[in-house]
Amino acid sequence: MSSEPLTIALVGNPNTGKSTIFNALTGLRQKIANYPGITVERKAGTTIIGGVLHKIIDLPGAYSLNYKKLDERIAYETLIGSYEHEEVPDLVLVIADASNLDRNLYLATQVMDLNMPVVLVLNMMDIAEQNGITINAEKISKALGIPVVPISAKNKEGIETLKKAIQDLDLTKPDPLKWVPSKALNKAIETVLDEWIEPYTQVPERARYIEALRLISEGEFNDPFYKFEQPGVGKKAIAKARKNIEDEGANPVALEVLQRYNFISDCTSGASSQNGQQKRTLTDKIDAVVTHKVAGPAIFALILLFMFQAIFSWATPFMDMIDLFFVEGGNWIANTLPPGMLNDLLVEGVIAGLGGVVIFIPQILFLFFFIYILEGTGYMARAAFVMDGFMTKVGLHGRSVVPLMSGFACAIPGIMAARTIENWRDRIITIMVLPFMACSARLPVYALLIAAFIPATTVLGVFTLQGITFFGLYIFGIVMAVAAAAVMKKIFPTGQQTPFIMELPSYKIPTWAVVFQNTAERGKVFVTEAGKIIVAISIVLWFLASFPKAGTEQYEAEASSTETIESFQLRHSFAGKFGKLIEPAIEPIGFDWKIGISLLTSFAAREVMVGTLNTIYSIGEEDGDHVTLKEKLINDINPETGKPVYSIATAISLMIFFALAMQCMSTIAIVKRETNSWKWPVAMFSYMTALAYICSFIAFQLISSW
Amino acid sequence: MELDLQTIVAFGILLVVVAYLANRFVIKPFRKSKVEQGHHCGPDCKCM
Repeated sequence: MSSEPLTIALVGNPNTGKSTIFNALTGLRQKIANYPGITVERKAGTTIIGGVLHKIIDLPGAYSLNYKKLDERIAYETLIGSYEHEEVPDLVLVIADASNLDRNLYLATQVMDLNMPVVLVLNMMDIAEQNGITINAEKISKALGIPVVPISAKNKEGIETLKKAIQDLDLTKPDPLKWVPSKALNKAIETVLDEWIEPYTQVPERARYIEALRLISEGEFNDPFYKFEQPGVGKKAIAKARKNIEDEGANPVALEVLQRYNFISDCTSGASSQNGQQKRTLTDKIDAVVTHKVAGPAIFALILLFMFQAIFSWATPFMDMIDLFFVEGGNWIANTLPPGMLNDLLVEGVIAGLGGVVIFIPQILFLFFFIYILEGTGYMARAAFVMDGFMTKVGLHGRSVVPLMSGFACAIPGIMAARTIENWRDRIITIMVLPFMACSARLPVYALLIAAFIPATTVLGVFTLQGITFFGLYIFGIVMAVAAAAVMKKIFPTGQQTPFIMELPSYKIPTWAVVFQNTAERGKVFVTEAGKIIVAISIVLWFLASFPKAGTEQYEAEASSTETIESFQLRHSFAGKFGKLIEPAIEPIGFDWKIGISLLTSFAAREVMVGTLNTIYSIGEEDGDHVTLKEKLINDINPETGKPVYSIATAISLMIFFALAMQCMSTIAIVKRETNSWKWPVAMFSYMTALAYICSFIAFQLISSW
Repeated sequence: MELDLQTIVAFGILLVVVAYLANRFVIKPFRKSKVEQGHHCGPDCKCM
C-alpha cells in the first residue's frame, strides 16, 4: 500500500456496527455534523495506520446503492464522487453483519460494481458464533476477490487485523471477481447505456453500470435527485431494455436481484455453514404474539389505550398542583404590587399565559416517557411492522408508520422522517395526512376541554370516560389520516410500490438514563420553545384585549343589563372587535368571538389557544378572585342569551376542529421546505381547514339539536 | 391614560415582546429562506 494519506469510506446496512468500527478506528479524532442543508448525520474522523494519517468517513446506513432514499443517495453519491461536498474515497470498507451474511453481501457486490478498492469487514462474528454460524473468511475472500476481515467490533476484537489489512492492501491489484449478468440482462444494460446514459446524461463513469441496472429495475426515473434534460429519450430506452427482458420470459424488476443473490449464494456456499437448528430466542417467542396478524394490531391498540389513560390520570394530581400554584401566585402578586397597568399585565397576561404552558408539562412528560420506553424496548419497530399491511391497503407505505407515529409527538420531525419513504407519491401522501396525528401541542387543548366538559365516570371498572374520550381523539386523528390517504391514493397516479424492509431489533430493557434524559429534554423544549411564544403572545393579547379602555359612562349607556363591565370592556377592545368581526363565520360551528381570537393566535402554536383563553378570561378579574381556567369556561355566560357559552356541543365541535384543522405555521413552513413548493402547504392548509369546519359544523348542529 | 411608572414598564415589556415575535416569525424565516435559495454550504458551513 502506498504511504499516501487515503480517504476511507465505511459503508454497510443499518445496524451492522458501522459506528462502533468508526469509533474504534478514529477514537476521539472525529467530527459529527449534518450534511449541508439536510438532517442526515455526517461523521468524519482520522486514523493513523503504519504512521500515515488517513481520513475516515462513516457513510449513512444503506441496504443498497439504489439511491431512492436520501441517506442511501448520500452514500451512493459519495462513493461515486458526485457529492459536491465530499472527497472521492480511495478505499471502501464494506461492513457486513456476519450473522446475516447473504443479505449484507448484496450491498457489497454493488460497491464492487463501482470498480473501487474494497475490503469486506465481517463484523459481529461473536453473534454469528453464538447462532452456530461458521464462516470461512478466506474462502469468501477467494470467491469475491477482495480481502475479507472477520472482527467483533463490540468486543474490540480484530481491529488491529483490520488496520493491518488496510496497510497491506495493494490498491493497484486487479479488479475483484464480479457477478456476471445473464445475456438478456446484459443486453438490456447495453441498451440503456448506449441509447441514454452515455450520450445524454452526466452520470459519472464508474456509476453508469449501476445506474443502468437501477433504471431497468425501476422502469422510470421518478426520484427528484437527478434532473435529466431529455427524459423522453431515456424513458424510451428504458422501456426497450425492459421489453428485451420480458421477451426472454424474465421480470425486469427482480432479475438483477435474483442474479446477484445467485452469485452471492455461490460465493458463500461451502464458506458459511450453520450447526444444527437455530435457537428460538426470547425475541422470537415474543414476536410470535406481538407481530401476529390479529393479536399484533390488538396489542398495539391496547398499548395506546393504556398509554393515553395513564397520561390523563397520572398527570392530573401534578396538574392540579401547578394550577393551584399559579392561581395562588397570581393572587399574591395582585395583592402585593400596587394597583396599576404593570400589576394587571403581570397577573392577567404573564402569569395567566405562563400558567397555561406550565400546567401541561406533566402530560407532555408522561407522553414522551411512554414513547421513549416503546422505542427503547424495540416495540416501536414492531408497531410499524404490524401496521404495514393495513397501511399499504389505504394507500400509505410501511415506512409511513414511523413518521406517522412520530407525529404523535410533533408533526415536524414526522414530516422530516418521511424522507425515508422512497416513492415520491407515498411520501407526499404521508406528509399531507401526517398533521392529523394528534401531536403533543393538541394535548393541552384536549385536556382542558375534556376536564371541563366530559364527566369522570368510570367505565369497565378501570377506565374513565375522560380517558376514553382522550384515546378516542387520538384514534379519530388516525382514522382521518387513513381516510384522507385512501382518498389521495385515488387522486394521485399510482407509482411503483417499493417493498418495506425493516430491521426488527431484539427486545431489551430500555436504558433508563436515556429515557429520562430524552423525556426531560422534550419537557425543556416544550417550555423554552412553545413557552416563549405562548408568553409573548399572551402579553400582546393582553394589550389588545385591554385597549382601548371603555369608560364607565360608555358602559352605562351601551351595555345590556346582564353584561358586566369586564365583559363590556373586552367586547370593546381591539381583540374583542376583531373577534366580533369573525364571529359570523364561526357561529355555525358553535364558537363565539373569544374562541375565534384563540383560534387565530393558536396558529402560532396550537397550545397557544389555552394561554389565549386564560388571558382573555383573566381580563378584568378582581384582585383575589382568580379561579382556574376550567372553572371560568364552565361558568362563562353569554350576556345576550343568558346561557352558558360552552355547551357539550361547543366543546366537542372545538375538539373536532382542533383535531382536523391545520393550526400550525411551523408545520406549513416545514412542508414548504420538504416539498420545495408552496403548492403542497397551501393545499394542506385548505383541505384540512375546510374538513375541520365541515366536521365541526355537522357535529355541533347534530349534538345541539339532539 | 396616566403615564405612571407601571404604564411605562408595561409598554416597555410590550415593545420587547413585539420585537421578539417579529424576529421569530418574520426576520429569521426571511433570512433563512434567502440563505437556502442563494447559497451553497460546504460541510463545515456555519451559515444555518
